[in-house]
Amino acid sequence: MTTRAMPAGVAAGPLAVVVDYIRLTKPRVISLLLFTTGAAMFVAEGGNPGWWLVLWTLIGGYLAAGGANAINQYIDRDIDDVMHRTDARPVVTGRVTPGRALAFGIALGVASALVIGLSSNWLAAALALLGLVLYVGVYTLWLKRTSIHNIVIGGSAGAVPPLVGWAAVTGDLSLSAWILFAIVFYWTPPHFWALALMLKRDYAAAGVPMLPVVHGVEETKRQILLWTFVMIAVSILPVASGAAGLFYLVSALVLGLVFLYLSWRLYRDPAIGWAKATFHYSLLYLALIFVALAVDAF
Amino acid sequence: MRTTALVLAVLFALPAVLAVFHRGPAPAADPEETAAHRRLETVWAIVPVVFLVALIAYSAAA
Repeated sequence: MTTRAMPAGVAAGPLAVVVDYIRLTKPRVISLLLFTTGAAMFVAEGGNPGWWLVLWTLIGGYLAAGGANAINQYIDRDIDDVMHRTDARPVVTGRVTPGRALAFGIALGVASALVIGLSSNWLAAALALLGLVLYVGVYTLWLKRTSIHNIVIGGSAGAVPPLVGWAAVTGDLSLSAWILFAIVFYWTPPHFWALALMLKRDYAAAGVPMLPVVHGVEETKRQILLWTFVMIAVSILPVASGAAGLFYLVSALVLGLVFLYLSWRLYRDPAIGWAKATFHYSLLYLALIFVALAVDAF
Repeated sequence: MRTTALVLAVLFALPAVLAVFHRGPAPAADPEETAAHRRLETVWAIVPVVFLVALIAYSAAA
């Protein structure tokens, strides 16, 4: 594993250094995770759980996810260098040394546990750390380079944030909390495989066994369609369990059927032209499904 | 409404789960893949289905 030398003439002023460390945390990816955390808190409370609790939990959640992302960039710096999407990351370009990225990630993880533990409870803090461990240990170190199920099983890390939010409010994990976890868990395959279709060459060059690389484009489209059905089924379970009402049911069905329409168009498309629309809609879908849950809870 | 939702969930999930498993061998499968790795891959494929069945069952019982 090597890192490139910093390009000559690039100023590394204090602001640039701060920006690089912020980039290590992948803030854009984290924003959606935090959205599910916050919404889960409102669902758990059945209303406003208190803005200070929400704020501190979101800060802790950012630190945990940011720490996981920093450690991920330390571990994956060899393949990040090969992939066009990731070849400008701070560790790859040498703007942040691998050792510092690792130390930064560990420090953020410790900080997250302290922030969440002291502001809410230690179950929520432990769950935040569990998310970090799942992302680094199960996804990045174990499955990403060895299994076509990497983002299915490894995707469980991204489904932990609603558990953190729920536990921060209630101090425990009920069936409803696990259903929120499941909504993100089953959303991840169609979401990520739509992205993987667009990045197939990158993943192939890096030797990452994403579904389109191993089973091909057509099978991936088919799997996206099938997993969208499963995702819709899971999204209805809050109503089936009695935790949500008619407003949420209608919202989940409408949002899910739009997702299904896009997945169907992608499946029928001889090319992958609908992958981009499917991917972008999947982001909107997850945000809106959690908004619908939170609104329904009031 | 709970019953309707449960029926809908099963209707959406069941055919998809069956179809997910109705897949032939990977055309680009690694010939040097070990039996242990193949078994582990099978386990990973089953985990989401077991979780889904458990969720539906618990939701029905709630």
